[in-house]
Amino acid sequence: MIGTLIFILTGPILWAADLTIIYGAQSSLCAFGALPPQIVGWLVLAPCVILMGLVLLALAKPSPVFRGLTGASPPPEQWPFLLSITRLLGGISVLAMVYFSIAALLLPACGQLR
Amino acid sequence: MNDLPNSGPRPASELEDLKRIWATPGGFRLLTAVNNTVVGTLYIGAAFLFFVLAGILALLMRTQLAVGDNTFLSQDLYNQLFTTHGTTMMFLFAVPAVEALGVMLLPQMLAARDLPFPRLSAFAIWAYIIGGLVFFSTIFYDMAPKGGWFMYPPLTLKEYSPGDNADFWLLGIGFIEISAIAGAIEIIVGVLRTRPPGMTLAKMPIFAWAMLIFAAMIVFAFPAVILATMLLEIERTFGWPFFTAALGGDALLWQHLFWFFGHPEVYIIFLPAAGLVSMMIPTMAQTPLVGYRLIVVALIATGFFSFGLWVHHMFTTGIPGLSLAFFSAASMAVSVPSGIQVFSWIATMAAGRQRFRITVPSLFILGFLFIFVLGGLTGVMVAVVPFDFQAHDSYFIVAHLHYVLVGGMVFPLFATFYYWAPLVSSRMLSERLGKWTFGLMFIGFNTAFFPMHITGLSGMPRRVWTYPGNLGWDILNTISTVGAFIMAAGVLVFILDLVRNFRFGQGGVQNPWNAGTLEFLPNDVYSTRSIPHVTSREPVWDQPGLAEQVDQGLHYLPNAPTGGRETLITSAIEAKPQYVLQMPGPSWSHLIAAAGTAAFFLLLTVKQVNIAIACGVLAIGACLFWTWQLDRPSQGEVQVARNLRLPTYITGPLSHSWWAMVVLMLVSASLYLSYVFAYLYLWTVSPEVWAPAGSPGLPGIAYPAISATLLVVGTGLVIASGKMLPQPGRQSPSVAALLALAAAAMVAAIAVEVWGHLGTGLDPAASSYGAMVFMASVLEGQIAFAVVIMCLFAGARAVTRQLDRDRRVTFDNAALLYYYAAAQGLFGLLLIHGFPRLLG
Repeated sequence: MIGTLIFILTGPILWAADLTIIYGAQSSLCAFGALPPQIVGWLVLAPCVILMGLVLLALAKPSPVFRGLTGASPPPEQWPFLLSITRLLGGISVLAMVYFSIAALLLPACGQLR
Repeated sequence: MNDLPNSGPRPASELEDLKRIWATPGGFRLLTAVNNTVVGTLYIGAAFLFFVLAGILALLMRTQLAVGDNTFLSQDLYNQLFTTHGTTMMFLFAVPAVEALGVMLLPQMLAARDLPFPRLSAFAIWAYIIGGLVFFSTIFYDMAPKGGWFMYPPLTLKEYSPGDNADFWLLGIGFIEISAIAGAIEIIVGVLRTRPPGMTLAKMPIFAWAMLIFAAMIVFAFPAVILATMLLEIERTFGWPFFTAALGGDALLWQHLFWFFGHPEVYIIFLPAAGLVSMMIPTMAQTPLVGYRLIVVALIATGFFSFGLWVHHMFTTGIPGLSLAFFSAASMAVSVPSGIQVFSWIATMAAGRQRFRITVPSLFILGFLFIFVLGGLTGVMVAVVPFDFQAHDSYFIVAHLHYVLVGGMVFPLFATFYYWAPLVSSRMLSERLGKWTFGLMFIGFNTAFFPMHITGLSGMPRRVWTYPGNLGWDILNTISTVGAFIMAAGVLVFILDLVRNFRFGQGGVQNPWNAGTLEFLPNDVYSTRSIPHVTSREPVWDQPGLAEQVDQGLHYLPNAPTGGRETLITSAIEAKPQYVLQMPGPSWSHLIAAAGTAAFFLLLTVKQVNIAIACGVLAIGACLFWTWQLDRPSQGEVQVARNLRLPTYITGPLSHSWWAMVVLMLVSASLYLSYVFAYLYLWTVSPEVWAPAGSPGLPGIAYPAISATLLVVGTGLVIASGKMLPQPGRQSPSVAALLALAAAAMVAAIAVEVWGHLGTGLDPAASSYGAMVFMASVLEGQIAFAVVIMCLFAGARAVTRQLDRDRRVTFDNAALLYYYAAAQGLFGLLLIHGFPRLLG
């Protein structure tokens, strides 16, 4: 059950990881001024790209992901439903991560902008 | 007929048994009832009462604001009114109302006899009613909070909000949130484990999906605000400076914690309402919902994304621009799934086999669509950071939030009242009065709130008790006030309709709307006579003769084979029957526990510590009495269908109680993660007060090492006691002794940790660092308190021959919580002793 749940939520979980990483990294790196803003900008963009890639990979190869998470083969009767929900959620999550990436591309990493 | 799970005709005694076993207690014993129809109706009634009361407060405020320079209300009373209005609407009406609908409707929609923890539901409901009424009554004796429903510090710190007013909010609302969590646990386990056979996830009613996501969101969102209320109350009472900037605290920490709860809260309110709409529209269109899978995706995505939006309430707090952009992006993203739902509803209306029926529920749904879409559009506007800078804290926001919340929740709720009233009332509500209700509410709402967009853009700030009469805001405010009273007239007509037509009881019209879902099967106090085998999403439409078959007892569990209350437990994904759950019946214990819990928190508010402790002890005693009766012995296997026998006792991961304990652990973990966030947040804000440079150094490594060893040894003792559980019918003092030792080890671990820090001279009131260090022990102590009680409880059952290798649920629950508490404790030691050392 837990594995199936994680499988369905692959996209949103990776989206949440993306937001946690980029918000946590950007706000703390900017607060301490530890790195030049340009580097911070790239550090923010990198997880977006990597995590989007992971979501797309999971959507392209769902069966191995399901087996990896549950230790069982996809149940034939439930599979079409589970797969479509997982793919649709993954698609929306990638879209939301694209929105993050556009922000990271367009805006200076540490500016107050006011 | 041979394909059906059971054959007929069934013996007449089966039905008599069901009626007797599930009978609603009469007279004053009605207070002890736990049936979902009784407590669910009570729950909805209480929530509606709070809606009316908070609405009256709104009318008072609108009267004050009708013209400029008005002196109808004093400034101080106005502050109390808007705080109590917002708090009541959000905490005492909106969340409880949708949770109440879950308690009342889910068993019927899932054809379960009841949800798996009926006394827990009843406990939560009574705690909410008692606590809510006491909280609301503070407005009558000048003791209501004044800091707004969000209670921002520093305004709400003792220095600026002396007296007990703010404490009523912090302790009263904090404990009502606990009751909401109890309801959420019930709903999660209920939706996943009490579905009828055949109702796979793909065939689940959309409302069940919505309630599942709603409850999961409560599990992850509410702990953040519970932690926030704890921190603020501790700062107000003991002076630990979590929010005082001069000592390393930060008022923005409250905003982060509050809105991490507060924004999902909007969707916690909206998603169940959207689920209700998704149930009603197909019935009114007489066609299956268009895009079922897309709606499921939209519900899940909305639930998830809503946790990434909290900073959009904080755009003007000085956070860097790129951070704001992330949350602006997430705010845009969440509108996508909301849009999916709206288009799906419109498509279903258009795809109907016949013209969409215009009934009272339909009118409220159409009103909902109009209002909610407008609220959504202004939501996208305020998600744009520069626009939000202009509109923030103005009446534009008041308009936006009411369009979202009233449109998104209140209108669907009124549709629900008219649509599902036949489930609990022997008479339907009036279509004529219902149309008046809708008309007045719709016109009144838009008259009241649409002008506020303009008032806000004209510069009128929120939360002002009056305004100068020469700023051009008078006429808009007067129109808003007229609208508010028109809307109130609509609610009054609805109350009149209730008085004239609502008659609690069974025997109403069967399936008056020709719905396709299970709640409109023939029902009685025991829910359906037999639990149907489901093969589609609209079984009443797609399985001819289902109502008659179910009523004749030809499906699962047509009787009461254990002789008591029971329901069928099925697997979470495929809904395959697994066992028969023996359920508790009416009792005074949960009622006494609820009253004691409410009294404990409320008396603490007014600093009556001794009486509060006495009430707390009473509550714990009642809980122990209640739970002592729960773990009933197995009745062996019983026949639930012609070819199906099921066990009546299950332990381990298949057991419903194991699931509930896991959900409780998720709640605890969410609370602790909020704490970890707060710790790291305050460090980034004020690294200068952190050890070793800014505070007394850490105690020697021996202290955390001893503490960790005690936790590990305690865990080992619990594991050992699990292996030593006796044969059935045997007493086991050694198991009891091991569990008591394990409990003592956990208490000792916390004591060593606290002692170590006290030895360094660290003062929790001196800096935010000290406060955070001791707060870790407070949180660990809180969960250890529960662990100690559960270990001693399991030990007592071992001594009294009620705990053995087969009948071990009590032990399993205690062990699970122990393992979690030990893991949390070890993680806490790593954080408190490791992080400052890492900093050097």
